[in-house]
This record gives sequence, C-alpha cells and structure tokens, in this order.
Amino acid sequence: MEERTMPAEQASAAMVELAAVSRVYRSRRHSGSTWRQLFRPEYDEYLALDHVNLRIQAGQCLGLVGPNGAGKSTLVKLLTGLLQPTSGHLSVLGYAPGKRSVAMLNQIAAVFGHKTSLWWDLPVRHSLEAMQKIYQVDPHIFAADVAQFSQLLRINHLLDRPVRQLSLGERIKCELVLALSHQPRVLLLDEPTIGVDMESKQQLRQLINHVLQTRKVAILLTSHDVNDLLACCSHIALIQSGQVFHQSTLESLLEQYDLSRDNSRGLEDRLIETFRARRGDAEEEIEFGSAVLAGGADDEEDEDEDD
Amino acid sequence: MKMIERHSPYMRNGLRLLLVDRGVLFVDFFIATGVAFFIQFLVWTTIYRDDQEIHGFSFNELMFYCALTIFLSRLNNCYDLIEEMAQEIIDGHLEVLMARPTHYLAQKFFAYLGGGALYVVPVIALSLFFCVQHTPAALTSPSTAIAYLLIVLAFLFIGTVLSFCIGMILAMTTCWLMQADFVLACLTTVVAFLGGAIIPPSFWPEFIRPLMEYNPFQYFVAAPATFIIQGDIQAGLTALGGATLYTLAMLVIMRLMWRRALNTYSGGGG
Repeated sequence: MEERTMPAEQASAAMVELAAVSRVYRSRRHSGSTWRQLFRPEYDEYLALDHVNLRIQAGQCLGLVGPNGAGKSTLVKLLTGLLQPTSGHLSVLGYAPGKRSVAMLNQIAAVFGHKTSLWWDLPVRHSLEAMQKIYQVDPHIFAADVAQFSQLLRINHLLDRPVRQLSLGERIKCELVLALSHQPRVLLLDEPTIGVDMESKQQLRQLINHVLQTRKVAILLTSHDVNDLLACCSHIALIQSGQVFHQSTLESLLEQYDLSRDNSRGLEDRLIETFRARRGDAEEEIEFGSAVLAGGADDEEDEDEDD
Repeated sequence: MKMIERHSPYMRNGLRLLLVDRGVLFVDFFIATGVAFFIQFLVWTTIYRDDQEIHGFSFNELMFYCALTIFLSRLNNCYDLIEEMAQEIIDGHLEVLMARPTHYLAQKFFAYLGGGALYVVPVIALSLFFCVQHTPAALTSPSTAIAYLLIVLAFLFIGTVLSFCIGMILAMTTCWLMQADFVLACLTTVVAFLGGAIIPPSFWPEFIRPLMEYNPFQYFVAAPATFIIQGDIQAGLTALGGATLYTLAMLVIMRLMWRRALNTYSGGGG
C-alpha cells in the first residue's frame, strides 16, 4: 500500500502549538439558601489550564501525563475547538481550533477511550461508511486503509456486528480504525487504552506506532498507563493543576529519572513521586504510609501476643 | 451538493436506527396511533349525527383530521431528539461529535430527517386517500392543484424544521437544568394540547382560540392537517407564512442559545 510522505520542512513545522493558553471554568456555587441559589446564583471560577505551552511536530507523539483533573481532557477539548481558551494562543495545523473550520476538522481525529464515535445500535461498517462520506475520502483509499488497519488490529470479523455487542477492547479498536480511516494529520488520543485487555493494548500501541512512522501523524496521547507512554511516545509533558511543568523527550525524562526504557514500574513510581512532591503533600503521604505500617505492625504484635 | 453528500450519512443512519428498533416502529405505527385513533373514533361517533357538520368538519373529515394529526405529531416528534441530546450533554459526549467536520446542529437535523422519514409515508398516503375520496375544491383546476401540492410539501418541510428547532432549543436547556425529564414531560403535554392533535383549533371556545391558532406547535400538526382537508389555498398560505416566521425566529434563538450553551458546557474528563 502506498504511504503518504511529507516534505522535510512541513514535518519540522509544529502541527499543534499552544502558547500561554489558559482556560477558566465557571461553576455554580451550591451554598447559601435555596432561594438565593435560585434567583441570585453565585459562581466560582476554576483555572483548568494555566498558561500552557506545548508543541507537537509531525511524526511526534506527545504523551500528556497527569493525575485526574489535571486538565488533560480540557486541553483535548480546546484542540477540537469545542472550548475556547480564556487567554493565550493555540493553533492546529495553522488553524485556530475555536473557529472550527472544515479544513482543520477534516485533518484531525480524536479517540476518547470512554466515549464512542460509533453509531451505538448499528454495525461498525455503517459508521465506517458514514466517515467516508463525511470526510469525503476517496472510496478506494478509504477501503484500503480500513482493510489494512482492521487486519493489523484483527477486527475484520467485527465489522458487521452492532457496536453495542462489542466488548470494550473491541470497540476501542474499531474507534481507532474509524479515527484513522480519513487519514488525519493530527490524532488526539484521550485515554485510548482505558479498560482494555493486555493483548488489545499491545495491538493498539502497534497501530499507533505504525501510523506515527509511516504517515508522520502528530499525536497527542493522554494516558495513565506508563506502558502506553513507553511504547508510543517520543515526548512527554507533565501536567498538574492545569500547569505543564515539564516537557522533554521521553529519553531525557528517563535519563533524568535514571531509568531504562524497560523499567515501566520505575517510571510509574517516579511519576507518582513527582506529582506528589509538586502537590506538596509528600510528607503527609509518608506519614500516612508509616501510620498504616505502624498500625499493621501493632496488629501483628497483638496477634503474636494472643498466640 | 457536497454539503448534502457530507451530511447524508447522518440521515441514512438515522433511518437505519429507526429500522433497527422494530419494536418502537411497531408500537408507533400500530399501537400508539391505532389506539389514539380508535378513542377519537368512539368519542366522535357518539357526538356526530348523519351528515352533520361541526365547525366546518363533517364526521369523515374529522376522522381524516384525527388520523393526519396523529401521524403528523409522530413525524414532527422531537421527544427522541431532546432525550438524545440531553443525554449527550449530561454524559459529556459533545466533543466526540464536534470533532467531525460537520456542524453539530446539522448532524442532528439530518439525523432527525432520517429518523422521521418513514413517518411521512402514512401522511402522504392518507392525504392521497382523502383527495381520491373527497376531491378538495383546490384540486378542481390544474393551477390550484399544483399550489395545493406545493403547499402540502412546504408544510411538511417547514414543519420538520420548526419542530427540530423547538426540540433543539428545549434540549439545550439541559446545559442549565440538571435533567431533561421536566422538559420532556412539558413537551408531551404542550404538543398534545396546543398542537391540535386532540381536537381542531376551531373547536375550542372563542376566548382560547387565538392561542390555539397562533401557537408554534399547531403549525406542524393542526395547520397542515386542516389545509389538506379543507384545501383553502389562501388560509394555507397564511398559515405557511406564520410557520415560516416562527421557523426563522426559532432558528435565530437556536443559534444564540447554542453559543451560550457551549460556553456553559464543560463535559467531563476521563
């Protein structure tokens, strides 16, 4: 199959760029009297993203790592143009996502692990057919791509099955094929391996790597699984409380932590430590940990005494 | 043309979803409509005598009116639309649909068209049956016959757009309300009452008639049914003008609300 190639200068240009992007959410305050809440509601402001700077080039996979509520999904929503930034500048393929131009949306794809893009009650094939028309892809290229990706993920036998009858892993694989079927240049993957079995995870990672290498797609991957990061990402950004406080290549992060590429457990531990330290509760956690240990030790002693 | 091609999958899949849910289709076509019509038939049989006319409707005409309004209510039923969109807002599902190169409102409109496509068949069949049986005055000359046909088609289209806009406006309130249950309960009652599916607007007492004749809901239920039966071109055009004005106003409101709804929408994270 013929793979797309890209000029060198285009490949080095940033496909996704965020410069000092902030996003504030307003949420209704549920305190005070009910009547006051009803007629004079008050709002709290919450800074979901705080002056975020990011850059992803063609052929790069940036892993965005952070605890729950760090702002990862908000960032993905900003990149699809669903939300507007409160301040700062962001561009996807040179377009402002907030304007939601067809030209931009035609070239991006998003997979949300916990949300489906497929028509729930229809066979997968009907969703794929719909994508070919929606994205106006050449039918031959589309058919070849779907066949190739389906073969890589071994989902050929699932295409005529209604989505509602698929397991989570099967559905996610179909989601990824659907997302890649229109040859996007930017791929946003929001926790694509969440709840997926080990073998399926491996297949998904292989396909992500395949499109990275052969199509020079720019990928933003958010995941809580360090194996996803180690298998797919060339770059890592750490985000917490809306702030991206570290951005480097995966290699330099591993070097900084003094870890080898096959030490996923070590990377997970170091990442947890880093987030804890930044949250400022490292001491507290240690004390909590020792309290548990102390309690456990006491219990054991008690049992020993009883014996 | 390209725009239609891009959006046609939503329409096609909307229709496929309707066909997949054969249980709902059976209930809609036979039980829900059949029972409603049978009750109307029983009630009006006891009221009408021989060739009596009440408010311009003979018994036969009123039965056609009842059947037409039942199917028009189903054709322009935005209940599912509200329920689906409300769920998408609550589940934080909008980003998935909005990552596509087609506008969310257009996706919903074409899916709504596809989802209702089958319900236009009984409306057209009933209209043809009525015309063959009663031959409305408008069908006596070719020019008025063409006008009659065009007005019926225009009513069907405008009615669909109007009901869609009302449905979307109500669905968007989920961005401010917690659940859509209240909105759905209101809608069912309001459409049944104001739409004119229970009895024609002209049957209501004088003091309430302006509300029954000029509310937006009757323009996609009672007005087309009345026009098909009475065939009054002048009255049909006037009603069509009213429906168009309401549609334009609803389109503007829908656009404004959509912007505000998106500002309010935050969805959920992973």
